[in-house]
Amino acid sequence: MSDDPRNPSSERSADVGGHPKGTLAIVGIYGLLFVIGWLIMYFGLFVPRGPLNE
Amino acid sequence: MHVDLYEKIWMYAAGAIIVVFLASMGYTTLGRAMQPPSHVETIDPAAVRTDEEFGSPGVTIHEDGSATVVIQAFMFAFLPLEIRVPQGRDVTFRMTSPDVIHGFQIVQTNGNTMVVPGYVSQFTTRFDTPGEYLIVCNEYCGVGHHVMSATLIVEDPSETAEAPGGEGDR
Repeated sequence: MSDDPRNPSSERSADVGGHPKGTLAIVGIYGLLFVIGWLIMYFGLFVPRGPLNE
Repeated sequence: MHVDLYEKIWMYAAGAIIVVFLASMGYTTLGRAMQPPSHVETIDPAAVRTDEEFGSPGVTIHEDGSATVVIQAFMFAFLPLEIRVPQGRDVTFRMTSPDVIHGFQIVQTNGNTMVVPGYVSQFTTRFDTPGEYLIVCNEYCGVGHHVMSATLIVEDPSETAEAPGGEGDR
């Protein structure tokens, strides 16, 4: 199995320059869900309940 | 300087997330005036039970229809246990504790504050939806913390004035 980037093995050809694409996708999906979930809770639940001391 | 690709991705993503969150909070804080209530008032915790105001907790309905609710939070209950307030009118909650730190949260609303011995917590809000709301202690206060609760009943202003604990009945 070769670690030479000029002649990548089949196992490394799916990587992004040596980085695991699948991991990036999983973490990216997690991050997206995290941000979307936060925005839903904040603007969908907290803000509509209105302010105190109005 | 070489920065690893994934580190670069993370840096931009983390920065973007921070900007989104801060912008969201800035919009509601500055644009819609949704800010945490600020009130500084002290009281001797040892004298709470005999205090003229907090020694007799309850609801007072004022001439303009607004209400003031005086609450005592202690291990492990709120007084009064049942609070009746008018719908659509300003309601001011004033509370303190003679013993330990408690929490005061009106479930399904943004009414949420800590109740700290030595201080009077106060906030004013309005309930537009009638019904029963659960009030819970959300700050661990001891072995009975999980049963520390009260009931808030939001009803028509005319019903609140007539009920016990209504106008002038504290």
